[in-house]
Amino acid sequence: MKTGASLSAKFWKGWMHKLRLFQILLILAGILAIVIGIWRDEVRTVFMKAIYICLECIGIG
Amino acid sequence: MAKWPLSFRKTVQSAWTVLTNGYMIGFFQGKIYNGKLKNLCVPGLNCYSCPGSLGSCPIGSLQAVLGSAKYQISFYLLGFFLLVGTVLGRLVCGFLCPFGLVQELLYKIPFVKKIRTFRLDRPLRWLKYIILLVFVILLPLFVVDAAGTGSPSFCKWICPAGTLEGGIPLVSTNPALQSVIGFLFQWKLVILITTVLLSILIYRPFCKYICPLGAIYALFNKVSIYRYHVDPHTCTDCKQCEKACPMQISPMREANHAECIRCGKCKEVCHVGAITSGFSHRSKASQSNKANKSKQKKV
Repeated sequence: MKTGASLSAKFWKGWMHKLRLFQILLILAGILAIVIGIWRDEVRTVFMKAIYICLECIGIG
Repeated sequence: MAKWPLSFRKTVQSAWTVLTNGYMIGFFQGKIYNGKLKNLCVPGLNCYSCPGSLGSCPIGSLQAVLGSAKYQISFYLLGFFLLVGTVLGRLVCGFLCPFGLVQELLYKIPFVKKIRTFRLDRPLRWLKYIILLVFVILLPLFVVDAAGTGSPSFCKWICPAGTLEGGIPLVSTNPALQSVIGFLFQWKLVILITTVLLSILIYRPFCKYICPLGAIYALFNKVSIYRYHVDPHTCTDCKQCEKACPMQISPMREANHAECIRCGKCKEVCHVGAITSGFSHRSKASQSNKANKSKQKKV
């Protein structure tokens, strides 16, 4: 007969396995989204905003 | 040999702040860095108009893309948050945020009474999510000018990091900017002074109640690869970790709580070593427990 401890260990292992799969999925989605963002030239918008003084950020206008 | 005066975390925080704000010449000339590194975002809240800043602020960048007439969604920033959030979670807040470091240093200033918690502490923690939704996403997207461009509302009306890291150094060294300061600068200065004063009384008030970047990473804390683990077999339920936590959470009940900034105070005070952290799913404590059990069996 299975003890409570072994059941909880089994549950823990299963939960961790699911979590790991979810993490891999999130990382892959993140990489894919970054690639799409670069392809859509969003990086240029970020760059153009960042290389000039942002007047709103520093409280001018 | 003399002992290094800073803790591991303070060393990482300081080194990261210096490394990502290493364009020193900018501070003297009142100019900002405009090289290719600005294509990349830094994980923490670090104004890209800081004269020393070598990278872009993710919250400023998100507003810039959402506010541009060309885009309605930012895949680049979405991917960045998914990646950094999944790997690190709010470890970024505890280790890689320059404005977090500033608040922690301010909290070290002695004061008659420090405020650990107060009546509205818990409900106010939700404010950062509202600020993220309204000021970072909705206003830049929908409040637009004739050209269809939205302004970075969070940076403009709230962010004290921009005033501290960008506004003050640039205005003090650039006469052209000094001649155009007005109500907005005074307003932002009031917010900065309030944040500074509150930081002396309360541990990281901006991170707890206002920071939209912390709100984003908080969503990932429960699933991030870097995580905390409390071994229930080793824990003696002494509640020392709960008392020591500067973010007022209970690591025993929820080790990966959304408010946990991974500062490690709970691990330091745990006298039985029940709390471990790392990128591995299996905690060191449970591993050592298993090793002890197998040794006992052999005996």
